[in-house]
Amino acid sequence: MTARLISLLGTACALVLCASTPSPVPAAQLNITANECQPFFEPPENFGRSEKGIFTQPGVVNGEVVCSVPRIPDGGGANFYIDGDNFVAGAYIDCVLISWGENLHTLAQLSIHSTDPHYDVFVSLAPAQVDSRGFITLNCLLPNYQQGILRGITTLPQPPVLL
Amino acid sequence: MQIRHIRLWALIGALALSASFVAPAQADSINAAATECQPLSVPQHNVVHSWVGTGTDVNAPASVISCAVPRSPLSGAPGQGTFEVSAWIVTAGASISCTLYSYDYTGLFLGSVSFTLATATPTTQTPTMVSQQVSLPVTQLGYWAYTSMSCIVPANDSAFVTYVVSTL
Repeated sequence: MTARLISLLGTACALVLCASTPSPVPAAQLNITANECQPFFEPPENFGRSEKGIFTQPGVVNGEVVCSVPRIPDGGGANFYIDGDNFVAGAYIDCVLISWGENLHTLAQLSIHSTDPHYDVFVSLAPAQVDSRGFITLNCLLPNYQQGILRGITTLPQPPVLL
Repeated sequence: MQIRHIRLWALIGALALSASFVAPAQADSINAAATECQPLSVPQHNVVHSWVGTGTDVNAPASVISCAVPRSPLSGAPGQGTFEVSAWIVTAGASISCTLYSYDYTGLFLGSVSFTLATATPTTQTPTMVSQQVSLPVTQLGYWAYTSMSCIVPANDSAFVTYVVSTL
């Protein structure tokens, strides 16, 4: 009886080991500074960049940028942190994170609004809202008059699935 | 005898299974073309993007550009971050001075490293590709940190920042 139990345990371990070996490598986290963002149908002179990110120039209101949000698809959803600063009271940032399908159809749109001096906004897309052959973009209306900065976007891997 | 054999097999299986769960993840390299680099406080028309990267236009003065440096940090116990930056030197003697920055997600400055991309000697035959490897210690690279790079590209189309590879 004991021998059978031990044998069963050994077989189970071997099977799990075999099953775990070919499992895909977990997707990686990607941190990217927002100075890669581009003017969205606006003159490039409206925006300034630094090693910290992107901002509007003095005198510019409703300056909008579009940012590529790179990710490594892992078959699940997708999670993101969007970081930046509002330097003065009343300054704010409005963003929309868009998940695009392979054929340029919109799978999801998530809105983000923050008036916090230092924001670190978490947004999440369900698996059905992400196409493994699609892509993600982030459009942001930056704070007016150089009153804030969009610092960066971090794409998080899916939490590991425990067997 | 048979029971001992089975026990040994079970033990080996369990050990191997445990080992597979604690195996360290492989570091990811992110290779980014420097065509995403942007002018920094200089007129947009001074800076051009070409298949070899980002530099100044013909007859444009030396200009500062800023590049996002994407990174993929490992969870667990990260080591230092290594970055390889390459340049296409068009004119003999031309060089590019760069600083790579690390800022935490809160905006806190964590560290920087400065370096120069140039040919071994001013008389090295050009155009030629050069590269420089730099690193930041783990204390200057938080798990949530953002890295970026500013470079002074020389005047008159004489050198381009080509690409950045980050390995963490």
